[in-house]
Amino acid sequence: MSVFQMDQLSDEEIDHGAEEDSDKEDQDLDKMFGAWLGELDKLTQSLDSDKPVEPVKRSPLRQETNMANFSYRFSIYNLNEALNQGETVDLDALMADLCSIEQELSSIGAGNSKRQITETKPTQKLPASRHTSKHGTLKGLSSSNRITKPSHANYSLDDITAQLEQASLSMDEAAQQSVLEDTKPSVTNQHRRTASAGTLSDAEVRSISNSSRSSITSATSSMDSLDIDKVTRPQELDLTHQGQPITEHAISLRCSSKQAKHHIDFTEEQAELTPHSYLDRETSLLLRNIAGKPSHLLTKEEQAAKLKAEKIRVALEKIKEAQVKKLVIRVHMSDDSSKTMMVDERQTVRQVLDNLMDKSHCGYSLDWSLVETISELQMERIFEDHENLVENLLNWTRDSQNKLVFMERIEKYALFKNPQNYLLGKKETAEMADRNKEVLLEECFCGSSVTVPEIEGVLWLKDDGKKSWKKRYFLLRASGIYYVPKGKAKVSRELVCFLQLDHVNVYYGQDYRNKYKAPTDYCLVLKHPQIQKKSQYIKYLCCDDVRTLHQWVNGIRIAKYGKQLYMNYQEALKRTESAYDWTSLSSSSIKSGSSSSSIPESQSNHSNQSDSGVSDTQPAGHVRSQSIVSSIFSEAWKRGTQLEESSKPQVPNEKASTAEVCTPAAAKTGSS
Amino acid sequence: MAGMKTATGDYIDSSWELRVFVGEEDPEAESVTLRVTGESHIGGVLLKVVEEIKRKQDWSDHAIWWEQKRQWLLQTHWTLDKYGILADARLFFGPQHRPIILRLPNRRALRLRASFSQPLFQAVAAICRLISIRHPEELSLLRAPEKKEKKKKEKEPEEELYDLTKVVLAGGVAPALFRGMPAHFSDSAHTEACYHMLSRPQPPPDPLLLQRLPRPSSLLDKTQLHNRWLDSSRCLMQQGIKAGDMLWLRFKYYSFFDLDPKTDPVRLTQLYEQARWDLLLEETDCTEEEMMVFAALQYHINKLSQSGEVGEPTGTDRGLDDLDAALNNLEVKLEGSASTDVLDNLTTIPELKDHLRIFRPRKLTLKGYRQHWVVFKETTLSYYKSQDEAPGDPIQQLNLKGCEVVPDVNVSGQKFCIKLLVPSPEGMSEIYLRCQDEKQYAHWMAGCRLASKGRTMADSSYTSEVQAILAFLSLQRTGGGGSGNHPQGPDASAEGLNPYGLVAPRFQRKFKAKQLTPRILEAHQNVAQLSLSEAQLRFIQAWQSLPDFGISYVVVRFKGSRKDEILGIANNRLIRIDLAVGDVVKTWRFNNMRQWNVNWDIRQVAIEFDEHINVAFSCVSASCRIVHEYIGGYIFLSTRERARGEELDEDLFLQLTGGHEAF
Repeated sequence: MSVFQMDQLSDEEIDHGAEEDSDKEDQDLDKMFGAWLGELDKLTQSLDSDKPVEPVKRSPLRQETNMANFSYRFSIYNLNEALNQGETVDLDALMADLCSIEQELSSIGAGNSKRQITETKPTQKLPASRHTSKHGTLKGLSSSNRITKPSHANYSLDDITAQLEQASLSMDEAAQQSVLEDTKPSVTNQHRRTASAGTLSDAEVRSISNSSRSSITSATSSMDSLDIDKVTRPQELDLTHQGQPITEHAISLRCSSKQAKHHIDFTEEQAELTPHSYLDRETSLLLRNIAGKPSHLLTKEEQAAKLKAEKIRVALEKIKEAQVKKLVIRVHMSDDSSKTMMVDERQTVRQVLDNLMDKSHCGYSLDWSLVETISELQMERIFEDHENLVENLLNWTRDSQNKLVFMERIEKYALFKNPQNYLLGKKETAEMADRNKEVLLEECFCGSSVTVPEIEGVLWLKDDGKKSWKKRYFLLRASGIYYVPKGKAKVSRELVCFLQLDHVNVYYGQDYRNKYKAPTDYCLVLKHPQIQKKSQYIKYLCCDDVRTLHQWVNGIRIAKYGKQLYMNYQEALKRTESAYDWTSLSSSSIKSGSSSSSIPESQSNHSNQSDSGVSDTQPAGHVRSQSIVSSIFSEAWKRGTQLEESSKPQVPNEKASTAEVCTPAAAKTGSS
Repeated sequence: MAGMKTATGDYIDSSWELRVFVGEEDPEAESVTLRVTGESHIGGVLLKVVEEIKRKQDWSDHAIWWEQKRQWLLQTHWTLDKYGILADARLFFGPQHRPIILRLPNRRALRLRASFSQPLFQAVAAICRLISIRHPEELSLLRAPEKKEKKKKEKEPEEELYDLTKVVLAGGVAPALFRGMPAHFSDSAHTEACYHMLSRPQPPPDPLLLQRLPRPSSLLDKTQLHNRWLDSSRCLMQQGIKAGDMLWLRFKYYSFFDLDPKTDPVRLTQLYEQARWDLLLEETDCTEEEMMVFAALQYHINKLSQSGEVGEPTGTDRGLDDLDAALNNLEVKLEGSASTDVLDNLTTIPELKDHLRIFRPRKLTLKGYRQHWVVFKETTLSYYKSQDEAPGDPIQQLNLKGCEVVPDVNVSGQKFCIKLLVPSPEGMSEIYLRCQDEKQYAHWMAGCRLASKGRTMADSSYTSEVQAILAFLSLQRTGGGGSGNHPQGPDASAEGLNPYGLVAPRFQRKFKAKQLTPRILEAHQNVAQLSLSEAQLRFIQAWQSLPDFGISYVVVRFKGSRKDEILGIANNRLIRIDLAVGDVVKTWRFNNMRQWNVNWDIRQVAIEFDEHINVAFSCVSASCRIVHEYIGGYIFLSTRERARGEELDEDLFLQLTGGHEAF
């Protein structure tokens, strides 16, 4: 198993005995709400620093023993409060706070995590499989996040409750739990829960950055007094406070805030500060009135309201950003090694590829691809650059033998390197001048609609459930794949729709001559991405030769993805070119867009180039770290400032991680 | 000057009498006789004519047409000698702009004044500016087909004729927008109505009319249209068009540059209409599945334009809407805190629980629908044997995320089924839910649709989705999905869903209305979210991606061949097609073209492509001028660039498409 499927929900895997599963879903909703408000709360927390939180309000709740509905009750309680007080909120302070949190986090978190890796490295030579089993708790825990996105947060509260009830844990368990506990603030704060599932070090790193964040957040007034040293070594803390790990740790988290609190305070606090109304009713009314008015016509109040709205929008954006699902994946390299990495749910295949190219020093090339292989069905597919990786991987089953392979595949963009072989519907390969290629591509992809190449011909279709194949005359149209029924003419009106392409992906079949007695080995498969086992809903087609196969596969890609495909190519080209500048000829595997040959002769053209062109001593200049808040910052920032900044602390880290490549299971956290 | 006489009355200069008729080529028109010499300038002659007529009138648009030479005398500084005019010349002093009736792509008639003296290219540009269509180079005019003598003079329904003859445009500048339309349309209620006719899609045509209209039955029929194109380099007068004639305005070149719904409402709509008629009249063939999508889009577009939701949400920017929604959300949560009930509602995702009949098609099973207790929660559907067993394990649980939801509804038959195709690692599971009534159906259907997109019934769009489904069902009831044998008139079809007005006649013959309706509805749910202009754009794009799109056919005979063949001209290539079978024999792309030549005497077009490929053919069904103009036009259109904006290189166009008079 190459991807840790922590998103598969499985109740038995949740190791917290205290957690009641029966009415879990009902609670989910409450918790979800609570957690959401908790989010807001974080943000508002520092708004009224002059108005310290009254501890009085908390006291009656502290005695609650059944804490299942904690957040829910708190929410109501505080909602009333907020409404009664009718207080207004300083939005500027809110924004300032958010920004500072962000900055602190990116610097502290990144810095610490690196240190942490080197510290914890010796402890994590466990193979991946053991990791998963050992940390079943974590895994199950995070897996429960799957159902609905907003519910990530909820478990944290629940978990904390569970933790409290499990006061009599053994020593190591306690230690382990505290690591877990460490991550909890992270959950409530930034919802990076799945991170904890990866590896031990991973969890720790996360916990550090998280705890640092949470302390920043929770420090109501004295943010500067944060004792980073303490926070960065949760392990030590845990060891010293083994007895009551949870409580003590909570204190450590809040060491800089004014009142040292019991752990419960921490939970409470989230709910309690929550519900300041950002916008009083008048403001929102105002806002509604001014919608659509040009700005110069607005009165002062209206402008103020608009400004306010703008700020809230940014705040909401950030909240959204905080709720990001992450997945730890194993990527197999073409040289049989593998890498473990973390991807978040927003990342496209392109971003992951960039990451992988950075980390594996394989040099930049258009042909680097992420290939999904479904061994059970003997098929594979090159992920398109714009696709969302996590979404695709979540289609795999728990016990899946599927693999994600990082390799160079020339067929990925062969379509654009030699468009004349794919777009003109010709039978023979041909050469074409580069200028004409460009014109052809432009004509095909840049018009008001994409021209799907006219591909038609006899293919073999496998009978459902049998190992027999029948010839049929197929045609590709933008609306799907059609065939000509027996005895009919090849005109549009007689065509029968074989498949529409909206819901299926196209795969290459492997060795179907043996598996299904296919007439040739040039097979393509069409199936819904979620189907993972043999099924009558999978359609198998077999071509007479490899050229036909590639023409069909690429034709289907054009019909399915249209202009996006071309945009992907151009984007990839851009990356390659800029990388080429950076690495200053050190990479051998760069291919220019138009220089390579005609249709690939073999579909699985592995190249073991991943390490060939680049040595370990390669300057770290082109190593880009994937920033937590990358989406906020501009591209220029990434290439400019961050490049310089990140390269410094990363040099040792990079070395460490390259060393890790040798041990497949070694955790690799990078700086994400 | 001219006309000096001796005492006896003889003219002593070389002057002679020139007769000029006043009016438009009417033999009985009044005439004036002038005394001129060969040196008289046209301008002077014009002045004299006006003096002679002795009528106060704005003569600025008038010019002299020389009938024998079929030529306007527009160069006022030229002398009569230079033009070669002698006393026997029949000259007509008439207006250069004359009314014509345009049959627009949407098949409505519009009366306007067009220039009879400028080359057609400029005349079309002026027309397009008047009706605010950008990129006039893509359009041209066709002669109206000759009307066959109707048997017994069928009662042609009086059609509304829109009139723009009185509208005058300030030259040159693009008309400013006023009240959401070009300013010159906002003068009167009539012109405003005219603009609406231009910029809004027409309701679906009467199915009966659709069946009556001529449709091409073969490739040969499709070539007929193209010999009617007018010549872009000559003026209307030269091509024998008279005032008040009917001409068709159509997009001629299928290369639509920079279609922008915001600035192009008329262009987009007219293009949509042309595409629609192209498909309905089977000029461009499509498959059954494609037709259903086109029908669904037409239905959707019609519904939107009927309900007046024409205006796109322009004023408020999208971000503010999002924010509003988010704030509303927040606000409701905060306000709702007063009563815990509201909060309960908010925090609990609504569920559906009911008795439904379920059918699971399997091989070798004869079981039909069975009653089950079905619970629909978040995106998951679970069903139980009975309500009592609900706390236990369900018989089956299906997560509908990513599934296909297909309505299977027959209102008159009181059949409300939802077909679900749920993907799972093992394959697709097919399941049918049968609801009792519309209301139940609407709620479950809405839930299923949201779930298939990964959203729950807590989503804010749930209620509107339910309402939309209910509205849809009521449409089917009034639209008489069942009354297949009595296609209704255009009025009735505007209200309800009469599927026959949306599909080509061959589908009318193939399917009953009640078979068509569910298929169109199925396709409709994929497009139901589109705005009017988005839907039009989608329609045009789908039309463009048909394999047979945008090919103009002419019958030709290739050099050295002894049978007629078809030449297809598309925006990027020429296609040689076997006339009998319809198979593509060979394709040449304009990109590889070196040059083309036309021999006007033997009516032959010779084209040279890269690698010394030479093709020559003579034109049979249309004049070689039309083929020449098509090729030159497409070459011209491919030279357009975004950067150059609106201005047109007219000379280049005429150079590429004209040329035959030059020699």
